[in-house]
Amino acid sequence: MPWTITRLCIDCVDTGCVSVCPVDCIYEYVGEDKEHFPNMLYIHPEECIDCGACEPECPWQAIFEEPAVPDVFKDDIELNHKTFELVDQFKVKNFVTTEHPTPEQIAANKVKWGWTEG
Amino acid sequence: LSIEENSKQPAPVTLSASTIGAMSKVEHLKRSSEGLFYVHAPDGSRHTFHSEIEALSEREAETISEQAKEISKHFGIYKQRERNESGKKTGDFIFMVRVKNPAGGELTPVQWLALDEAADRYGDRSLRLTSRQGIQFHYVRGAKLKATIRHLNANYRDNGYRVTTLGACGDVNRNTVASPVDDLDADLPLDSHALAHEVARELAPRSSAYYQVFLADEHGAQVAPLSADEPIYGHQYLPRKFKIGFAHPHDNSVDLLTQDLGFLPVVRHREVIGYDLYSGGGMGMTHNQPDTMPLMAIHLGRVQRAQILDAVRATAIIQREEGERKNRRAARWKYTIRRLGVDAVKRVMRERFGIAIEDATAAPLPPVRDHLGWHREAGDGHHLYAGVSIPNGRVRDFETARYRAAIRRILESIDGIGVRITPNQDLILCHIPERCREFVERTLSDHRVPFGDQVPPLRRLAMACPAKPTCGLAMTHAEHVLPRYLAELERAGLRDVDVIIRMAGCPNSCSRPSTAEIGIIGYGKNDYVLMVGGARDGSRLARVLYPRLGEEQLIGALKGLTRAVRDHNPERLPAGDFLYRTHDAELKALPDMPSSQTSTEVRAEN
Repeated sequence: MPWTITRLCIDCVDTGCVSVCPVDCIYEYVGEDKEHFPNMLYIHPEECIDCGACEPECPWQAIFEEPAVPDVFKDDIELNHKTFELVDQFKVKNFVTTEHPTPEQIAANKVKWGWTEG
Repeated sequence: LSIEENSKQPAPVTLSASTIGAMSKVEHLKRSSEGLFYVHAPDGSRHTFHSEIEALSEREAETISEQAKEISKHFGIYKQRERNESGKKTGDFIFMVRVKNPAGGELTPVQWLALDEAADRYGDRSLRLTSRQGIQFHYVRGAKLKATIRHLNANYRDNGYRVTTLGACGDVNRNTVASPVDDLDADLPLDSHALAHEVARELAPRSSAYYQVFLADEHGAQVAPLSADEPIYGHQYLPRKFKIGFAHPHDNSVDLLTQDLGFLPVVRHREVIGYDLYSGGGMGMTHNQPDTMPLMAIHLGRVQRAQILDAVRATAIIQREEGERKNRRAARWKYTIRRLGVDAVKRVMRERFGIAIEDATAAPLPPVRDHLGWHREAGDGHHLYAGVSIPNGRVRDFETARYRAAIRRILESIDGIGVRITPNQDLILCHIPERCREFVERTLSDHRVPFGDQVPPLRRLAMACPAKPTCGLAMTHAEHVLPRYLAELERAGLRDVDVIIRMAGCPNSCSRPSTAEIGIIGYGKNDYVLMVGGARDGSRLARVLYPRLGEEQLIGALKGLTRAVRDHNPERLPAGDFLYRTHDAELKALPDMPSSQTSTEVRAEN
C-alpha cells in the first residue's frame, strides 16, 4: 500500500523524506499547471515500495499510508497518483537542508488545512 | 472454530468472520484467480494468466501486469525491474525465478548440472543459494521466462522428487527446510528430512494451473489433469507466506525459532522420543510500524512423529481461517497465534484436530553449525562430506575464484556424490569416498576456492541477502557491500574473530539478521539499523544498538564491536553472549564506535 504526501507539505517542502527514500520516488511538480499542482512533494504510487522510511522524516507530519489519509486530505491521494499519468511534468526532488518547524508551527499548519484530529 | 479471541485487539478480517469485500486487493486477486488460472484487471475484465506468459514469450510484452504479479509469486516468479545506483527502478524489466528444494536442500549431480546450465541459458551466469536452501536465478528476461520454468522442471527427478518452482513464493508453504546433515551426522544419523519431504508434499499447491501454463507440451497437451481444487488452502490460499523447518539435535542451522512451524527431534539413548513443536516465529517487520516485529517461535510441547503431518495441516488450516486478510502486515501466523492465544491454539489443535501435544520441557537448542570443511559421514565410515563456503550464496565464476567450474568438475567426476544447500547459503558435497579427498581439495584449490581453514572465522557464518539492484523491496545494498565490510575488518586484523554477521537490505530479513550476533538491516538510502546480541543457538533475538547509521559509521561500529569481542571479553564468551551482556553505553564507548547521533542528525549538520 503506497504512501501519500498531503497538503500539509504545501510551501513547507522539507526534503527529509527525499534523503531516505530508497527508490527515489518522491517528486516535485515542474509543469505549468501550478493551480492544480501546488508547491509540495508527491509520491509516485507505482514506484513506492511501501517501506515507510519517509513518514517519520517529515517534520510537518504530512505523510500517510493511503488507507490512513485523513478524510480532509483524501483528494491528495489522486494528486500523488498524477505522478504516474503526467510523468514528464514531475522531477525527482533533491535533498536540501531546511530548518525544522516548531511544534506550534506544525499545529498551526494542521489547523490551516482543516485537520483538527491530529 | 471455538477460539476465544482477545477482545482488546481490533477486530481482524478473517476468512471465518468476514466477507471478501472487507479484504485486501491481494485477497481479491487470489480468489478471483480461481485456482491461479485467471487475472482480474482493474477495469473488471478477466483474462488468463497463461495469456500474459504467452505475450512475454512472443515478445509482445516486456513484463506482466501488477495483478498477474501477485499470481506469479505462487509459481516461484518475482516480477522485478533493475535498479540504478540510487535505487530507482529505471532499468530493464526482469524476473527472479526461485527453485524450491525441500527437506535438506538435496540435489543429485544431474539436477545440479541442469541448474548450472540454466544459469547460462536463462540467468546471469550465477546460481544464488538462498537462506531457505533454495536456488534463485536472477535477470531472467520475460521472453525466456516460460522456457526457464520448463527447463527447471524437465526430467531431473532422479532422487524421487522433481525440481520445481511451484510454491517457492506466494501465500503458501515455502520451501520446507531441514538440517542438511540430518542423515549425514556420524554421531546421530536421523531421517527427519523424510518427514520434511512429506510436509512439503502435503502443503504443495494442488491447482494444476502451473502445469497448464508452463508445462503443456508443444501441441498444447496437458501434463496434469485440469484441477483448481485446493483441499487445504482453498481458493484464497493462506493470508501470507508460511515457513516450516526441521532442525537436528546437533544442528540448528535452519534457525528453528524463526520459522512459522519448527520441529526439533528429542533424543534419548539414541532414539527419537518425540519432536519439540515450535510455532509462530518470523523475522519480517516494517520500519516505524510498531505493530510489526521479529518474533521467536513459541514452544507448544512435544508431538509424536505419526502426528507431525496432522499438526502441520492443523496449523495451516487455523491460519487459513483465522489469519488477518485485510492488513498484510498483520497476516503472518506469528501474529495470529498471539492474537488467538497460545493456550487456545493448543486446545483447538488437541480437541478439533486430535493432535496429542504433550506438555514437556523443551530440549536445549543445538548451535547454528557452519558445516564447513571435512566431516566423516554416517554409514560405512569410508565416506566424507565437505562443506564449501559460498560467499553470500553466489555461485559464480569470479576472477578471484571459479566456484561454478569447481563444483561442476567435482560433481562430474565422483560417482555417487550428492550436493546440498545449507541454510547458511553454503554447499555441502556429500557421499565422497575417502580416496577422493585429495582430488576434491586439489580441484577447489585449482579454481582458487577457499576451503577448510582458508575460510576465516569472521566469514564462516556471514551472509547477506541479494538486495539491490534486483530485489524490488530492498532499501539498501547487502550482498554487494558485505564482502567489502568484511575485508575492512580483515585489514583491521580481525579475521580470526568468531562472530556471526548477517546483513539484509530491508526489514523483511531474508538473511535473518535479527538472530545474528551482529545484524544489519537496511533502513533507507545509506542508512542501516545495527543490532547485537543474538545467540549461537538461535534462541535469542538481537537488540537494536543503533537505530540509524550511515555506511561509514556502520563500518566503524563493526570494527569496534568485533575488536571488543576479541579484546574486551576475558571470559571468552561467544560473541553474541558477550554483546548481549554488555550494556549499550559500554559498547558505544569503545574505540571506533559512532556517537549516538543518528545518521540524519549527522547529515543535517553537514
